[in-house]
Amino acid sequence: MSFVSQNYSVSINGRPIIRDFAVRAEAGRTLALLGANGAGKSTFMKGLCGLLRAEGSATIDGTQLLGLEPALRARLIGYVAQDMAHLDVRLSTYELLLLAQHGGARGWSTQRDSQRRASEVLELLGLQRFAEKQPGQLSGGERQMISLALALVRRPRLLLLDEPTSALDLANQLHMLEAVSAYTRREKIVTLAIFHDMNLASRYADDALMISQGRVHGCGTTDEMLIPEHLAQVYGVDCRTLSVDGGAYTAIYPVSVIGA
Amino acid sequence: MSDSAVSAAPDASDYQQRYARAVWQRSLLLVGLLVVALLAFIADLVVGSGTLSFADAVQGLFTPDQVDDSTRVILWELRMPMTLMAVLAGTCLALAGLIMQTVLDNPLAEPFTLGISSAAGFGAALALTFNLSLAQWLPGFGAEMLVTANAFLFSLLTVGVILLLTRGQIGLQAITLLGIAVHFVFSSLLGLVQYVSSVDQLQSIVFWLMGSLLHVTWTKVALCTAIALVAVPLVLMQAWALTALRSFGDQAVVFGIRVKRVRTSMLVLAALLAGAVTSVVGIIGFVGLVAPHVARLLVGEDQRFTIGVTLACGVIFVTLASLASKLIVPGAVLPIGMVTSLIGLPFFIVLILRDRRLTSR
Repeated sequence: MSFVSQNYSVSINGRPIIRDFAVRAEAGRTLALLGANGAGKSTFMKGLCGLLRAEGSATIDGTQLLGLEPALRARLIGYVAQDMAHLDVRLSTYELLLLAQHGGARGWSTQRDSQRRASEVLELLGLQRFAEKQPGQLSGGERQMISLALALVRRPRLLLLDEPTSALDLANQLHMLEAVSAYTRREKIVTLAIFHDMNLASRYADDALMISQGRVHGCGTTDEMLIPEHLAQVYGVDCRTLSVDGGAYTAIYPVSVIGA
Repeated sequence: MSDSAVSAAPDASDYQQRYARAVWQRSLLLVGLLVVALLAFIADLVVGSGTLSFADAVQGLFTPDQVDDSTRVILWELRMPMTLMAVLAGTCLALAGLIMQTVLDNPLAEPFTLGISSAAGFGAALALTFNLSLAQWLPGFGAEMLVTANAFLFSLLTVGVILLLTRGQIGLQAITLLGIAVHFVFSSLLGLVQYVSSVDQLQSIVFWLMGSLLHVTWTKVALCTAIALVAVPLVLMQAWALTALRSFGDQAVVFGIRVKRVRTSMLVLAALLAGAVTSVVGIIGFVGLVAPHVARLLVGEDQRFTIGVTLACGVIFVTLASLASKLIVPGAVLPIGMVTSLIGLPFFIVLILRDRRLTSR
């Protein structure tokens, strides 16, 4: 049970952005995707979920994702996009959750199962009070939580989060990431999440993949990867690490831009 | 977010029940509108400029063999094709408008956004002025169908050209802008044909452009019926996909939608629907723009209901406009395209002003 990519490449308008990625992520663990702006983190994800054309191989539990029918791929992958905080449509959250389960289907009916699953996910994320609200009536952070619910409602095997906490305040960042990491462990899914906050990555991810200019810089546990040497190479920033709560967490403190 | 939210949260069965009730209400509303559409259909059928009494018309409608020949001819040969065509025009234009607004993600899109009206107008004008028609080499097209067939083929040409130019790669705004370009090209060509045509020919072109049900025949009704019978079920089958497109745009692919394929096939269907109706009755404006908006106000964005309600609204709108076109000036039948625009315009202005999304920024 794992996510494996080999020779995985993604191009935009013929220009290669992600080149020959070989990545392995284990079930029940969260892999943080780290790298400077423009390194190719979002492109990596968009290739997996079909928003961009990808080449090579990417499998989840042995099933090849690239070239898979969109309806089948949608059952395996849940994706929370960066700009989902702008989601604005005249459907209630509950209706959106039903839609997320029927999007690829033909016909009109809603299955009992899908209604049950919609309520289950709302409960799981503590979003029941938004069930009958439309995204336009919610704050950006609340919409981001709704988009997480939309990603989880199909019971994905691979969860992709593109800067999931970018629109959230401090409490909601923790609330969302707690929910994600608990779900990842309990359901034994693979979660890949893009972080810009090193401390959140250190706190909630198990492993880290560092990307630099469209190539893999390195991959390992967060303890191995979130060290000043790698951070200097990938971000060009001089950082210090601090041990918090008797070594339970590592805090990263950026000091200065190297060469500035 | 968590503790207080959970304690104040509604029970799942509450909102599930309310959702089930909303689904019921929407279904009932749809049935209600279909009944209104049926009544409008009957009203349009029994009211006319002729001397037929209401009782005769009703009797001729339900027991045609018990009325005299002239009643039967007026009802079944003159009025029935016109009224059926009004129903078809409402159905096809409203559906084409809904598709365009959904696929192009543009609330102001309508059946003629891709230049279909001016292309059809140019096709009709060519046939009316020069007796030139793309269809004249095709078997089975009599003189009666020459203008219609030419208008239809030219309207399909617009979408063909746009899809060929974009090959599914260019964004929605580019498609819309290309539509405007196509519109201007055919408008100019139409103007050119009008410029060189004789007074009689010019009059025919102008009347054609105004939109009229007067020249409808059973053959033309059959053409539009066939297209509607193919297109409506195909669109209904994509109800979930269209809701996802409407909600998530390009990201609908993440929810399992073949975005490009759905967009292309739906644009082709919209062109077929709008092209077929326009080639038969000329330009009937505003139905395709207004009906989807009314439907959304009534039942929201769940396209399983929006599609049906849009169709019903379109039918009601055009059949009532047809009725009005016979009543406004006693003894004369106004061009229906003029009437729909007159009714549609104030309605459209109110809709724009009421939409917070359009007025807030």
